[in-house]
Amino acid sequence: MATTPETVPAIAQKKRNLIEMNWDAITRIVGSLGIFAKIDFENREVAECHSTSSIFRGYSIFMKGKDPRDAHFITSRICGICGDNHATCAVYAQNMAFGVKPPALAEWIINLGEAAEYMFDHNIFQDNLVGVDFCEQMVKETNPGV
Amino acid sequence: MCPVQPDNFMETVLYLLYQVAGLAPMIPLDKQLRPTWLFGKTVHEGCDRGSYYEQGDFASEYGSSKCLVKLGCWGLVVDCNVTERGWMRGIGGCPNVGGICIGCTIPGFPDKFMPFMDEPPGARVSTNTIKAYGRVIRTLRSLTNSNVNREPKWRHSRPELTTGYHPTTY
Repeated sequence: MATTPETVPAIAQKKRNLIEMNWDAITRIVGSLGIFAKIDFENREVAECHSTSSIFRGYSIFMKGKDPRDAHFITSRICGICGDNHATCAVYAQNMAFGVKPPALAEWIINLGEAAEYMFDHNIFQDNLVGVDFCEQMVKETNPGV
Repeated sequence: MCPVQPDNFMETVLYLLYQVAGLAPMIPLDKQLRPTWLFGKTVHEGCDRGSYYEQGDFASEYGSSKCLVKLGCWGLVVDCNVTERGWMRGIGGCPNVGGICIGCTIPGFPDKFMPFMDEPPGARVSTNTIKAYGRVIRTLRSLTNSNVNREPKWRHSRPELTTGYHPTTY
């Protein structure tokens, strides 16, 4: 979505026991992706969540002078896992630049695309990238010879 | 950058392993050092929408199932097997699912093909040529199509058995 509320107002008045959890940098992801979350474990809810990517990738340089309609093609090629997020952001930027107000159904289509890519991301990251790290510990315990 | 097409990657690795083991000859490569059996054909030659091009039937906006060349598809001249092979488990392939080919397997990508969403230069000449031919061929085909869709005379509810099979060569 284009905007996210800072906090969830539903149970804001209740006494919360927020626990801050940070993951920075997440392993096996280029760009030093970091996730900063405040989690309400009792109510099983993530109250606040922010992400950052602190490595310089140079979007503002390599997009200079390009046709703005090409933005989502180019920016999404930066990552083999999360191309969709870059494409979606580029599409939102294009919409803002061209003054396009897409109907609600268009937002559904974007979200469906994001959801499909989410499954794809999950397989690639979980099974092929970070899965190796989890296996290392398991193999070390069961087969120390390997 | 994008992940490679997994089947293409595994085939190439397997071939190289065979080659290292001395069980296969030198891997066949083209001038750009791409395996020829993967990059020997163009996107167009494996495309689901290729027949729309042949009939001169072009999409003018997204959402259509017709040929995408007017929307900026470079598939006619790009060496890639994605339309034939699909992206995952044989499903997909950029132009098959409505995405224009932006030429990502060709040297000079992306600068050579930008702006992506404009019709490739030279495509206007070829599409106008094919349009004239396509109009004729489409008319002829629609005539034959309505003809072959008619119930033949020899299929009826009368008691005698008749056939439409009359061999002439023997």
